[in-house]
Amino acid sequence: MRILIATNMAPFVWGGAEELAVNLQRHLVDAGHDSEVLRIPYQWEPATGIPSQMYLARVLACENADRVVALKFPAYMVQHPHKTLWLLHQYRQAYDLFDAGLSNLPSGEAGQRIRGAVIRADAIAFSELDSIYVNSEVTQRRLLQYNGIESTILLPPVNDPELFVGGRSEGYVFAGGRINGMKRQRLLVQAAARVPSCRLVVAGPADSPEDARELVECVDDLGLRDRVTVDIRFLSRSEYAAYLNDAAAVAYLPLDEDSLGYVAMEAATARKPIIATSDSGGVLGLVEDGVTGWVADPTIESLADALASAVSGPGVCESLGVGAHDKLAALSTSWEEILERLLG
Amino acid sequence: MRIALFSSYVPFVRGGDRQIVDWLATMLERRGHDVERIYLPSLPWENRVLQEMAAFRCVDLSAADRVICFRPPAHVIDHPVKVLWFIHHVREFYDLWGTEFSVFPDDAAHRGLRDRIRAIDTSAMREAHAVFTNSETVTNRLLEFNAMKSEVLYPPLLDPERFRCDGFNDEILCVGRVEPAKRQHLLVEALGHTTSQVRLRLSGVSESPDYADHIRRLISSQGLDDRVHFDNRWIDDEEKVDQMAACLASAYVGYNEDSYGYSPLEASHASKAILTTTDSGGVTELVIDGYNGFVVEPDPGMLAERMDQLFVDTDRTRQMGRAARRRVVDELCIDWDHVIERLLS
Amino acid sequence: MRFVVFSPVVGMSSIGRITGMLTSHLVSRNHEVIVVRSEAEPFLNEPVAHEFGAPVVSWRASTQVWKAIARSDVCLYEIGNHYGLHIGGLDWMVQSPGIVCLHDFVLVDVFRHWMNNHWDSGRRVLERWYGPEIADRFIAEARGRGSMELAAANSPMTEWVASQALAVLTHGAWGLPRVLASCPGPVAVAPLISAARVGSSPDGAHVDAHRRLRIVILGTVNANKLHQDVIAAMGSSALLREGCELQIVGDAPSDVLASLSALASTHQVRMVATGHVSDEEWEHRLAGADVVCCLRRPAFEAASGSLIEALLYAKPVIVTDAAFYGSLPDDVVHKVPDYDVIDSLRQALEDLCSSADRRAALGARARSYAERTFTVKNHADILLELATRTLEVAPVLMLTRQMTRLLHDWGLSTVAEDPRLVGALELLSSEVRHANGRTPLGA
Repeated sequence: MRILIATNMAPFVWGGAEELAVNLQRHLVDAGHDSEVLRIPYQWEPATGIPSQMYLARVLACENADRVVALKFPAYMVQHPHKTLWLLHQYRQAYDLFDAGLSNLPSGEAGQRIRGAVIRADAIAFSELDSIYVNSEVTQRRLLQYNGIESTILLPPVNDPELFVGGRSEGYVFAGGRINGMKRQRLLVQAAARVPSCRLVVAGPADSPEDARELVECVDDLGLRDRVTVDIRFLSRSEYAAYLNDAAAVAYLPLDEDSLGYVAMEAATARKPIIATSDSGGVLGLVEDGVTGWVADPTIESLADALASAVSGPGVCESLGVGAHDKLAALSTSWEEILERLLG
Repeated sequence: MRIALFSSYVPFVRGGDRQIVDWLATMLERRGHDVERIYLPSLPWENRVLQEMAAFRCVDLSAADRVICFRPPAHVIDHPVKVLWFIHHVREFYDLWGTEFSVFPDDAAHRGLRDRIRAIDTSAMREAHAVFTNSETVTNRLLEFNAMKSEVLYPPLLDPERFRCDGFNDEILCVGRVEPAKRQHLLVEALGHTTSQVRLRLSGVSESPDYADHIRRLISSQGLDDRVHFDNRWIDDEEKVDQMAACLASAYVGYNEDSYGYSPLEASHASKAILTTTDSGGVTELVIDGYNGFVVEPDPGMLAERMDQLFVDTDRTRQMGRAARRRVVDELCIDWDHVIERLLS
Repeated sequence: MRFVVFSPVVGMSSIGRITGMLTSHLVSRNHEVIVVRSEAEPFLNEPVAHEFGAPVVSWRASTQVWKAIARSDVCLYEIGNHYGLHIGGLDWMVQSPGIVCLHDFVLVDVFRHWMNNHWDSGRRVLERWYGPEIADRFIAEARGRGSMELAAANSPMTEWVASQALAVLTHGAWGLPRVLASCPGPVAVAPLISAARVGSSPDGAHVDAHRRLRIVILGTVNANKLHQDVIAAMGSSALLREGCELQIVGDAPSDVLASLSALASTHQVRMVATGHVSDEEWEHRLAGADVVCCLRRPAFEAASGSLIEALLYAKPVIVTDAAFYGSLPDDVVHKVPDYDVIDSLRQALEDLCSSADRRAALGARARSYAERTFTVKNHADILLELATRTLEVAPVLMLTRQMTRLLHDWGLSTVAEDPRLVGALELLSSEVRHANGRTPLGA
């Protein structure tokens, strides 16, 4: 079968969703299909331009494919008689972020009209789908609440588990993933300042030069250069895996994340315990305090306690790490089953 | 710099102008640029062509400092620094109109659509920071149909140093898909008229079983089984390089192609002369008769004469091979330094 | 070029008559034409009364009409202010947008009848172009079966048809602002084709010294032709009272004629009324006229067929300086302002009636102008040029509609709500400039 994976992209941004698309393609090809990834540029600023981005998706010619598997808004609006949705991202600015006052939609009537357009276009797109899968409980809940759509959770596996072999800890805490305000690396650094025995490695691409600068300044202002390593750039998978495999524990504390989070899943694959906070959202599906890691309050003091525990010695980390690994295994779906669901 | 390479493609149809984008991306990255490749589907049937142009116009790549556009309708994108490396129009609305290859009836309604498309293309081209093409043929068409001046920028090979010259055997080598438009049958017919013991190797796969059969029958009926090597299989890069390195000369006789493709370029880097025909199109921009190869009428007898000459007058053949290399390296500067300097200027 | 032309074909339709001249002419120039007759019953049952030079099918025969459309380049809709004659055109122009030839700028009557079957859409159309207040007044006037004069002034309904067209062709420039504001495609003005048999008209009227000069008003007697003002003007001048007679040629209800008669008596003006006349009699009366009065207030038609006939007959004509009449060159008709009509009319009539030379000269210039201008070839040339322009713009207009429909599905009203979509349509419309530098966006 010819399967087109339809997703959106922002130029020069590459993250977990992009890896997923590529890995899905790889597994489809391994299973004997012909598969391509269609990455449609998507610009959501200014919000008045969003109808044009939906229009773009509607027009693109996908008829050569036998099936489309769509991953994001507005790529799932492409027209095709056989479409499956594996929803990684809705346009949250029209839904939960709108309610939370964190939307990029302009206030007043203009914003309402665009919001209305997104909701109606979504309703039309959802009605065209053969089946609807989501990547997390959070996404499932939102889809039901805001769009009245029932969906099945299909957890995306770690993209390249063979890299995350784990192994002996070098005793530092590793904070991987994209660097920006929502991921709260600065909070972590501030907590590390309270724990003189804690060595911390923060590594990953910054969303913007400002995000990079703020983090570096934070480390400098607190005088932590000697025990906090900051490596801001896009890491290759093997570089990233090396950091993770040698860590004592992995810290991942995004604000209200949609899903388990690849960083957390990769840590669990490598049998490393995870430090998260009580407001990390979907990550808490994997991080259970005392079982698979630590769930701190989103405060410097509470995080400092968790860090102190993580660097206190290998014993506690090993058992929590195994706990994380086992929990992920229980939650996971194999690629074989995923393909069956998506193509069924 | 952040550079976006923007082109269209047909989903699940291989080939077609992707190498130029992929190779350019590789070479730009080697020079330290951030490169993003964007391919969007395009199937420009008459009832879709305008809406595709509208949709492509909505694409926002402002995160890139510069956008380089290849296959239409990528060229309609709105960007302050838009560079076109124009490969071809949607030819049904241009030079194929009203010819035997025309797909549309030449009535008033279709002419209206055609004229609108040309006007839109012209406007979109005028916005460009610079306009390049891959051949004189395309440059001439841009001038004729869109009144646009453009600079010819021949697409180089990726890592041309791979191609070397090991010597000169007795085979004339033709690399490429074996199909009617490429006219390998002409070479086989020509071989039948030769008087020397020159041989022919056809290296490539045929997706047209009828044509492959035709070639085989031509070989047999002329008793050339021991002088023509035709495998009908995919030839990988390494093998191709080895064959090029060993051959006497190369032949490329496809009919009326816009640009010469990579094969004659490969032969040139391997210091091998090129045999081609007067109606081959783009390759005649590369080959100067008697200098770096021969350009003859598409007639088996005349081709045979040249094939014999290549075999017999080995000094001349080597000399033309050296000239072929000189032509692409020194005279036409078909290399990435030149290309990138032009694209980023 | 291949046309499908939607038009009435019955005898009473002058639009049918001149469309027949147009299609015959196009066919003689090797263009292809299929005519779709556009009348409602009972007109639909009447025979084809004009010569079209092309096959005629009924607008109700959908399959045949679609077949004709599939084989053609463009549809041409001949539209006038008569519902019973043009219902088929109005119906099909929605399904197969094309060029509309507007014979009347004011389409109040046809809209009013159409609205009887489309109340909700009708109200939306009124509100869209004129706002809720005028919409209410229109509906009130329509329900009251009034004369619709107010409606014609404030809401002529030109935009309703023009906005559905890919392009508009009309016969006069005076109503163009509304067309330009509502038609997304190209707009052109082509002279009305005159059906008069040019060449059979005698040169001027022979004036025998004892005969009173004949001042003729042609056409169905309507308040807007200002018969009363003409009578009053003649009555206020001794020269006119004694030297002229007023001929009223055309249909009139007997009570109207009676009251005009009475008025003429009061003013001591000699008046002759013919009532309904045959085509031959009409021409005879026109040929025998010394002066023709073609006054209109208000003016409905884009152009006047009877005026053009009078010009072709080399008649000195007095017109109101407004609308189509005002757009004629100053030296081929005698214009009077549409205020102080009686005084200006008296002066104009005295001017012309006092000099046979002046009448002859004006008449000669009138004929020369008319012969050059109101020809079927001129009309066809402009139509063909418009059609070529339309065919280039049509695909973009259709795309705009498609885009707008999609936006409607999303609850948005126009493309203008998204600047990127506007930009896309601007690129697709580039290099297209219509009259007054407009581009085909909006609408």
